Amino acid sequence: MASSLIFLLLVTLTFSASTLISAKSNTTTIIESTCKTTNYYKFCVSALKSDPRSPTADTKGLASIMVGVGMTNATSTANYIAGNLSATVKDTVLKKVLQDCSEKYALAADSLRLTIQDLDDEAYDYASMHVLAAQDYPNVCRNIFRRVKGLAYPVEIRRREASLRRICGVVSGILDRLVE
Amino acid sequence: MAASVDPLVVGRVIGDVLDMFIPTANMSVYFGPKHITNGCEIKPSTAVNPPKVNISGHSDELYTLVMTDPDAPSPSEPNMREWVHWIVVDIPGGTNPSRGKEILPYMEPRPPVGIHRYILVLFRQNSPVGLMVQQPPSRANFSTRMFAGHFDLGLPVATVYFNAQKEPASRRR
Repeated sequence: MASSLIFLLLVTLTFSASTLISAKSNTTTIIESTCKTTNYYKFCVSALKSDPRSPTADTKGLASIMVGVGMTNATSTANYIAGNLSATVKDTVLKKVLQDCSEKYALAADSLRLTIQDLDDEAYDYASMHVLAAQDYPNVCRNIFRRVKGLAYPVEIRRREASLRRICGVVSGILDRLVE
Repeated sequence: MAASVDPLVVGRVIGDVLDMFIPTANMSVYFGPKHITNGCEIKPSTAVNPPKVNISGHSDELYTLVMTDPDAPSPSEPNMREWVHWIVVDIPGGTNPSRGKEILPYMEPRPPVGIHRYILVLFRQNSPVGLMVQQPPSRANFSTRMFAGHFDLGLPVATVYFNAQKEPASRRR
């Protein structure tokens, strides 16, 4: 009696374990196959895996998660530029440049917010354009710096620009798949 | 005998973006070796960098070039018309956009859905505009007509457009 119970228990455990294993490899596959369509596979996989919602998300959900990552980046960059740099800067020209740049990153965050709405509505063509806009605003900031003679483009903003471009690139890649 | 049908009218470039005009300048546009003629198809992967544009005219004349997409986000639902891709002002006649002031940097065509028209419009300026022109706050919902009106550019002096659509995944990147 006891041995058959133990046998039953063992069988149940084995089943659960194998279901768990196959379930885990299924969700990894969705993330992996989604990220394969982008230009930044490793970054895409690590960014998505670190979000608790990813295991149960479909492709559209993964896109939304990635857009959220972008929004965080853009908003924090806007705040970083407005707060940290502006406070210590006396030069009026530089101050104006930083103000404009901060606005551009805030606009990028707005575009990404619109992208989330578009994804909810499954309007993937709108989402694509809004991500393009979000990706473009940091370029505008960089050009604002370039236009002022002798003004160096801060390394930290350059780093954040590259980061946002990468995130937007991933979203664009995922959207391409959703549109098809 | 057969009336020559203006491809810009047929392609609804005149109508959707521009008003009827008489071309008085020449503009040649190339993406790599490909010469752009009205309505030709361009692969977005070949248009990543700005095209080579050569314009006619005298060196004391100044020109403005605008590249715009009236079919954003899709031709069936162009609610973001126009999406402006490139604005260069103060281009001396007989030269090319690299000699002008780039108000809005070139953004490559990346049509998400459908076949989009990408229109290059050339205006002859009455005076230098460089310092007056601000970057548009957003690329979406741009109006070439309004832009031209605001800076007193008048009617276009030359226009050419090409079509582009998303490339199949296997050929992209």
